[in-house]
Amino acid sequence: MERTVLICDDAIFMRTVLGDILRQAGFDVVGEAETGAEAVAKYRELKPDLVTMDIVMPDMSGIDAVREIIKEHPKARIVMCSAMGQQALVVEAIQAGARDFIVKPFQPSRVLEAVQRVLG
Amino acid sequence: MDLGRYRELYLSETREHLAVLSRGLQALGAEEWSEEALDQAFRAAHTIKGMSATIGYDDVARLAHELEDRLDEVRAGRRRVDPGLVDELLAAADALEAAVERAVAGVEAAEAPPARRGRTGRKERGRAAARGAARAREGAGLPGGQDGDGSAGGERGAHGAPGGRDLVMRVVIRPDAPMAAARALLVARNVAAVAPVLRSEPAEPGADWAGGVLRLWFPPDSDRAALERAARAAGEVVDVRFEGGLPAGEAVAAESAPARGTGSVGPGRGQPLELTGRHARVALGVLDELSDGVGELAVLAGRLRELAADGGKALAELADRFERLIGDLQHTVLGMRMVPVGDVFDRFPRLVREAARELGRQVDFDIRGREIELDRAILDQLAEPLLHLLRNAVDHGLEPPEERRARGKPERGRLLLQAARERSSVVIRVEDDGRGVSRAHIAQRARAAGLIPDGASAELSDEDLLRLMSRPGFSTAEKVTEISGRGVGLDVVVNAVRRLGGALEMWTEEGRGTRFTLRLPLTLAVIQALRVQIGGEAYAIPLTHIAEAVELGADMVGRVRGREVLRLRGEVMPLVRLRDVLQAPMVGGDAAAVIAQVGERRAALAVDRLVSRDRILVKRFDAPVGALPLFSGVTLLADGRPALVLDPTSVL
Repeated sequence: MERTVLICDDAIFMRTVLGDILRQAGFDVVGEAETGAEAVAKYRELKPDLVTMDIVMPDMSGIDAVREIIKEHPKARIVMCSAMGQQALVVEAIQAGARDFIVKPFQPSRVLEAVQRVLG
Repeated sequence: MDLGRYRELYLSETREHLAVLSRGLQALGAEEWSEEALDQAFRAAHTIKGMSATIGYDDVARLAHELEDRLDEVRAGRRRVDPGLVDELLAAADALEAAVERAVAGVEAAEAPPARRGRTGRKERGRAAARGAARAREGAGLPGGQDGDGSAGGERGAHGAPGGRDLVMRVVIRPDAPMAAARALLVARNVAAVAPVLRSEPAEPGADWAGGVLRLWFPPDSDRAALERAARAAGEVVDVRFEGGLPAGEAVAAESAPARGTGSVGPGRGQPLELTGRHARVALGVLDELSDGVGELAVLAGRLRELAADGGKALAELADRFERLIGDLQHTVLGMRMVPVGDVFDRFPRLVREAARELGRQVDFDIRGREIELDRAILDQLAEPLLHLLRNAVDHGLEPPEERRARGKPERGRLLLQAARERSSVVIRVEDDGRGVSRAHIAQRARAAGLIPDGASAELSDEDLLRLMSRPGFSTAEKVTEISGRGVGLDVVVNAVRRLGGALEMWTEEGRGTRFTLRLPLTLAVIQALRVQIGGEAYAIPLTHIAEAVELGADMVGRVRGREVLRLRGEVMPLVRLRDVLQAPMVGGDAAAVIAQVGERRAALAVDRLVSRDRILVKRFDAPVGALPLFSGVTLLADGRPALVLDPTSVL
């Protein structure tokens, strides 16, 4: 059965890039979210196997979204998507319960490795 | 005994024990020395004795035995530790070191007292045989050192105690992995689910931690396989090794084993961690071959990726995997070349003490960053230059106590030797709080030598000073003392550092002190480099000294006092057209610039274009006399063509 993914990022471009990488690798992208609040709502609704979470999003940050999701679903598998220079935020997200992180610009092999690690 | 086979092994291991011995004795010299330091020194002497007797170097064994006896007297409380004793012990350690080198070189001193020699030899051969058995067990996965006295169990309980039996996991995080500190946190969190983490090094990697070695301490009987799986699951982990500890299930057997030996501490138990792991020692030559081979593989993988770019997705993916696999392998091999700088640094305190005593200085010598790792080949070349800088600091930098008192400074001068990782470099600083370099004095001498024009009145910058002081033969000492050597100046240091692909900087302030900063690549074998084109030819520039690369727009170039400059985000820096320097033909103009940086100094180097960022394998060469000092080596490009490696510091 295909693994399901929820992609959370406020940029359409990033959602498209990530979505393509994941779909080509055989994942089922079941939903996308543009804000932290939407990410939390979509997670409740879809219960995906995996979430990719941008850090800086309007409405509610990716880190707060991780906290919310982990509070309700401690086993949620969340991979943070970060830009260079956001290490402190990534550390915060890991402390909040994120399982792994990838750094932009995305290299398909690195994205897939992180995803496999988290799902494996 | 077949000496040829074992000599090198003996030498490298003995040197490590000599370093431990020296460190332990140094620690005895401190105000509040610990039993731990004494024990370490004792065990080191004991181990050297055993190894020397086994290989048949009886003179070394005798000296080690005498040293061990004296340390035993201190342990038993029969000798008080005072500065005189510490000096005696250090002198004995020196003699021991010299004897080791002599023995390996095949010239054992002939005047050893025969009676003593015989006693040491016989007794030690017996003990060494027992140790050989211990070593064999270690090789099969059992811990060494069960031939010690019965106190091992008690010590085992003290988790986290330095020198205890904790299991240490050495995790190598790919040094170029993004956000290495966050990755380290993932590793720590994953393994904490398997066994409690007693401590870690670095304790809290900060944002500037560039990856590399992470050490984590666990209780001795932790499940290694599960720990390794958990660590690797965090990603970007290229190597996991264990040191110390007890394999699960062996703890009980070890504790109930009958105590053997003579009541002295057995080798292995509680030794410093770097010696308790299961290591295979490899000659540097073999390591060179291995890293060269893997380096060439990496270059080929790069070529494969280039070819695969036209060959479809499946091939490209395969090439990608191939390349990353070789990258991992390369990191492992490079990791084998890395040794902690402490191996060399720990020889210095004794030499500094001696120099200080001879010159009537009082020095607090502090070493930091011992655990920072550096390529063995680089570290070996650094010992002399560093020693020179340290001696200089004691001789010319630090004032005599009365002069310091008169200046309102503490009588004891401070001398600091510090290593740190910064990006893909290792930075070593030698810093004193002495009198600093007299600008007026240097200027006067430089004028007398015709190195700067008479009229020039401008204050000399630190860079100018360093440049003047490092001219061959330019010595500032009023009189040549034995300590700082004859006619050997800073030029030797500068050349040694440059030969290693590094750079030397200096800061100084009169009355406050002097600091030398050596910036060195982590390894000589494979480095990251930018491939550029100049006059239609390919060149490689190591990333160590590159701050950034930019496209060169006509509006960015200007002139200041007749010299071309580049304006970059409000900053103005000299622009050097490498095509002119190399007297190469114009091919399409200068479309890009590489910003080279050494310390605060920056310059823009114009090139035809930027080609790619590669890992390259540098073959160093000694440039013929009169050749441009611009090149530091040669490399093979992915397509098999050779390219010269440019040293950007030569332009600065």
